[in-house]
Amino acid sequence: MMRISRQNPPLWSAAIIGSGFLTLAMMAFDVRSLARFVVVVWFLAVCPGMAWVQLLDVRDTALRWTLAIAASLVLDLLLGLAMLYFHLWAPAWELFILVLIAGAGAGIGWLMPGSVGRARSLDR
Amino acid sequence: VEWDVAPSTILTSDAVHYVTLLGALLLWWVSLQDVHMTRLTDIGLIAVLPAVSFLAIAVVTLSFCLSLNRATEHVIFLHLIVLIVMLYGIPNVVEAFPRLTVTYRHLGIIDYISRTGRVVPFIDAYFNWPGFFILGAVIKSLSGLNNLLKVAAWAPLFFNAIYLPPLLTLAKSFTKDRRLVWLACWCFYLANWINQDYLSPQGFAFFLYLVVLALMVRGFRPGPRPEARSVSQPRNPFARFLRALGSREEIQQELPFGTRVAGMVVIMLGAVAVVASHQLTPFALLAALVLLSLLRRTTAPGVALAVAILVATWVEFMALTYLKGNIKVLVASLGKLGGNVGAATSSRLQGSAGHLFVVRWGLLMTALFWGAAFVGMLVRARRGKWDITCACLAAAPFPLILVQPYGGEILLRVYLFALPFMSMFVAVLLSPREAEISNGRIVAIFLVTMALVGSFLLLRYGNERGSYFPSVEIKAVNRLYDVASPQSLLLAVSPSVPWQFRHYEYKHETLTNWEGWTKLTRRPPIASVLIKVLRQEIVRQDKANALLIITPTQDAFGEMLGLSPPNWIMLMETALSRSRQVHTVFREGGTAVFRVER
Repeated sequence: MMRISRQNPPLWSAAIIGSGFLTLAMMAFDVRSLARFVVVVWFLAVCPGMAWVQLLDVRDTALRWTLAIAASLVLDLLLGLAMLYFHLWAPAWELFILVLIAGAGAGIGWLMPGSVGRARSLDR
Repeated sequence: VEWDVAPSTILTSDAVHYVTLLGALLLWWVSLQDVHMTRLTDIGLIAVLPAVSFLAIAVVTLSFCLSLNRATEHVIFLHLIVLIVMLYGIPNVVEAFPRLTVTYRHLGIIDYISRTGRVVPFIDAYFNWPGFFILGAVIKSLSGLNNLLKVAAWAPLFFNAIYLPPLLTLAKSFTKDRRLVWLACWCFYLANWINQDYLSPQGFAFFLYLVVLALMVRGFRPGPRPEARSVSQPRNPFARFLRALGSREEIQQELPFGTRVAGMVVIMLGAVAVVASHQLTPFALLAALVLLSLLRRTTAPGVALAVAILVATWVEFMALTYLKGNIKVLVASLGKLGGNVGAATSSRLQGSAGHLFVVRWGLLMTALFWGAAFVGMLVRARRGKWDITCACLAAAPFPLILVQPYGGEILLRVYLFALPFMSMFVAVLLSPREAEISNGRIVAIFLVTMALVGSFLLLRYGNERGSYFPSVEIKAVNRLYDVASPQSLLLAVSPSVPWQFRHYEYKHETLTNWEGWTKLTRRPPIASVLIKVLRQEIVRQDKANALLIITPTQDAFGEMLGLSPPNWIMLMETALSRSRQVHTVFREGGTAVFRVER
């Protein structure tokens, strides 16, 4: 089992927070390249879900990814759907909300590394 | 012996597998550089694929068989990923733009929502189930790209990659046999020739369908009763089956409470997303959940009721516009088994000899795959493993045939919804029972895989002559939109045109849908007759002008499906280009855009 302590910040939390900042930065500087598309898809498809799933004691890698990807995409879709039907369509604001959601999960994972260590144990 | 693993040798070490996979991938990529799309025939891409590309897949298959003996999951996982790339990534290497007309239509809806920030239910059915398109519009807006034309081609690879985690979760829930788990996924990818994984709501909804069922089976299935083991087994197979129906199956270790709560949240939100994204998938999901509840294969039967309420609510309040306009058509096909099956089989049997061969091969392979799955289920039962849950999920989509012909596609959709579970049973026939896979077993898996690869390439890319769009056609469509206005009637001859990805709200029509089309094609095309027909349509639609696009792909598609005589559409292009009554907007390499004034 891989234990991750406060001195060694959880990898997933760092990756999620980093991805969130990178996506926001690319938006802010209006980067026009395929790299931005890849970063946006990565963030939307994985980060919001994984930020919270990493807190759970999910030992099975396949199940962990199933939950993370499904939760992320469903959250993106339902948030967009709600914003559109309530005449609040603003993808940039949706991204901001998703970064906050992902950041909250990742932040908790950072502060409570024990649960992350359990989640990262190998599935047998 | 189920989780026992043979000791590794030099031939089965991880490093050898990594090198083999890399080499095979390189071989595959280099071999595809020789593909000439202009040589496509009516049996599609398989006719132009070099033998070396098959050799590359053969190498991966052999490596996969050997890897099944090893403990490292990563190595086997990588084989699946490479297989996905080699089967689903071929168009990404040999074609510059996305295949299939529908991809462009879906890009147009995404573009419309992204531009306007609203959905208009009366435009067409897509806007009544807009969930997936809203997600696409969010991605498009955030990505900063002007359009998603180039990236849309990667959707099949993306979707098939994200299908893998729920597929693995499902398979692991049914068996502890590691090799059976991987073989089931292997069979799924070899048999998923249905072509529903392009940039589409059904491709996305299928992912959520897998997720919901995987979480239901993994987290909410009753465990075995302690007393059930002590009772002796009856000799009569039917009596054993009846007992199995009433008994419970072995499950993996129960999930912690927190994970089950998270699983239930994802199940419910996933169901909402499915209901908001696609017309048919919620019904397939509902059928599966109802059957699980009726056979007492779930500890959460309320989920079926919740999904039923969600479906009814969405149809009643959000898809009412569509329902009002189509209620008669929907009710007319209810319960008509013969008509719905006929629409999915005999009505598709038309067109050129090559196309007919592909369609017949598809029907034969469907029957063979289902037959093999049935035998696999019996073999498992004979070994004392009554996979009632898996069998029930394999059977659940079949009642959909009674409900809808779904534009003649219902059999294809049922095949797709049942595929993950059918694959599980087909894999039983390939899965070894011994601790180490014997040479005979390796040869068997290899031969079956290569047969399925050939079949996959024929069926998935069999219509490629009418689904592949060269760059010049995209250029022509862009030119068409540059000169079009809301008062233009946009016309194509046959449906295979890469259009609607811009100005989705403009009026787009296809000539082959006209009542008089068959009569028109009985004689060689005459410009004056065609122009007269076009002008009548402009007046009928109350438009200022018509822009007609003619492409070689439309001609190929029309000929393949028997919509027009061979070369008729290209003769039409030549006739119109010589006429002084039309204005040529674009003409290059057999592709043309003409403008006809009212």
